[in-house]
Amino acid sequence: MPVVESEFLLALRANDPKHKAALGIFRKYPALEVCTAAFLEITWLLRSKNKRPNDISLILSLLKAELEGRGVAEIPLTTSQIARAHDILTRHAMTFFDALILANAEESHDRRLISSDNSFDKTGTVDRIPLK
Amino acid sequence: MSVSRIRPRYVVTLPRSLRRRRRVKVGDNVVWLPVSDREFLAVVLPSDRYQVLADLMSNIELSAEAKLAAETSYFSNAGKKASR
Repeated sequence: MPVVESEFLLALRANDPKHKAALGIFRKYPALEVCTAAFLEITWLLRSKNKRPNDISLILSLLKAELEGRGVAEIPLTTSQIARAHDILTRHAMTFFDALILANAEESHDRRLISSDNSFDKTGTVDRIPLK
Repeated sequence: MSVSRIRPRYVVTLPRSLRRRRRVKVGDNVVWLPVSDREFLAVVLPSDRYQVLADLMSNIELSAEAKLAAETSYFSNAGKKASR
């Protein structure tokens, strides 16, 4: 089953340019997985914008409720994946959280990642499905 | 404090005092988080969640530049806190 990441989570916002595409993904793929690392990246983006902890808690609860309600499974983040992310960083130029998401997605069943970010193509370890 | 009885099919009515105080509406979602054997944390989520997400994350973007800038800033600040 394909994996969604931060771009998809942000596209759940009503006014996001890719909102309709995200809802289309729910219809097209009845079974999806989400990277736990994507929630971490969203958290970090929110904290970098000085969002209040209770707002961040609400946002994460909303995202989790939406995904759970649609039966989207979460791929847990493991120590091995954190090590793998740093291995990716030694070989490829990308942000820490992109490497973490990639390492997380590599643990999915069929290694298909729904994302428009072509930096995930660098390792050649996942097949990318553009979000459009 | 309010007390509710668990009815058949585990249905529980939200006490009126809480409904009034928190502006809870029919159609809202409740996320149940287990705390201990006899305790749950219930988080009420509004039904128009896509709009709430839009409001709460209005200035968040995912461009490579924004991600790198935020990552540098965040880890730099975390490092400062750790060295105190």
